[in-house]
Amino acid sequence: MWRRVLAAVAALTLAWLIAPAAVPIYDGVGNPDEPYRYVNPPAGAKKTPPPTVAKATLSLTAAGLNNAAYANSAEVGPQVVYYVPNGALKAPGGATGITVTATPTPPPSPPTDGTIVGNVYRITATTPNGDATIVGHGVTQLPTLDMRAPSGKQPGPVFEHVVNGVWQHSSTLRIGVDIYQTSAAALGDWALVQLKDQPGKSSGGINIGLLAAGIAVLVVVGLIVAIRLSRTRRAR
Amino acid sequence: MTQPVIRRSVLTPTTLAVVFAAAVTIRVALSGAQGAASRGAGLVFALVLAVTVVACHPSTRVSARAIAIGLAAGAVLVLPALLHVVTANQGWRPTPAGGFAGWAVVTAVVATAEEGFLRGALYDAVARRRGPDVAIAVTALAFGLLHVPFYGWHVLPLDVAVGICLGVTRWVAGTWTAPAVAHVAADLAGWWLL
Repeated sequence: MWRRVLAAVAALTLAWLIAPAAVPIYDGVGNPDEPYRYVNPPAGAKKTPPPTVAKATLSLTAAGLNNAAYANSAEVGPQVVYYVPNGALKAPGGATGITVTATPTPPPSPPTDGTIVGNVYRITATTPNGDATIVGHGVTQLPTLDMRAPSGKQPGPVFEHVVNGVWQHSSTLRIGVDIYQTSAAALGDWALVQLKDQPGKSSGGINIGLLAAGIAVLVVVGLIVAIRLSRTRRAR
Repeated sequence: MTQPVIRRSVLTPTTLAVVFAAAVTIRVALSGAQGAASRGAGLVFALVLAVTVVACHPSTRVSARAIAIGLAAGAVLVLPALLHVVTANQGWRPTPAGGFAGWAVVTAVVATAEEGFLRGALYDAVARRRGPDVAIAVTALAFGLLHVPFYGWHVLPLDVAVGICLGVTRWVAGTWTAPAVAHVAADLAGWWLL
């Protein structure tokens, strides 16, 4: 018995270690989210309270490096989650902690390759002695940024961030119905952008063709089973 | 002993795999932009699986032992999320309880139907022909593939590994009710931990 149990635990541990998302998510029926809160609501958007700021204070090691922490915004589910793993940030000398924030903000300038969906979030890491800097390297040591899009339409948006006034792509992972994740190697302005050359394939409603195909397969299987049953009974 | 509604030789593993693929296709078609969050699509999916489970009548036992094994397996599955909450200074802020009851019922129905089909009907059908190791592998692969349309290929390794755990739970307990308990427990814990 223990051989199979140990093999299962080993497989699960290995999968956890290589899972690209910060927290492994299995499935289930997705938790219902509240309507998206916009800084500048588009026409037709539901009236909501203003979006909230994600904020956390990180303690430091003797070397001035941060201990791991999350900063979550307060919406249900959070519209932004900034995760800082151990040693990703370094504080200036004399600092006793780092405050990280992800603040919803109007876009400084629109990207040229698509449209911002949701809010722009400005990521900061500050101390009373000056700004902290990102010193982590690689996926496991870089801060992770999760953002919830206003909808789960696919193809979904991608992460972009502002570098010297220009929006640039960042590798994007879909980790939930409408939640996306990236390794945030820089502070500053981040947003989800629906690219122009990736128009949404789905209208967001029922896909009639796919539905008909699924039902047709079930009907065919039902007929085959019925015929087999009939033959089996006749053969008795 | 209760006989299956449909003879076992009629509902082969291949037939069950086709039914499963059709059920997933219907769920994807109905869910639209809501994806896995669509309760209606989830319930239709569960209905198709449940009808097949009733037809196959897999080995079903509800016992204290099966529930205990299921709860233990569920605890293992939520371990990483729990560790993150405890160790990462996350400032635990669970999703408010409002709406939990309705969501929990739908989640439990869908998860139980999935387990009744995968670790019940399909597992039994494969295990009779190829043994438990192949049954665990086949049902784990089906479980992993089920999630790909909603989350992409990157979830496959983790979900296959979870599927292996649920398959071993089925094998240890001797009934699909144990992985059903584990699956429901892990999904419900997600409300409070993710």
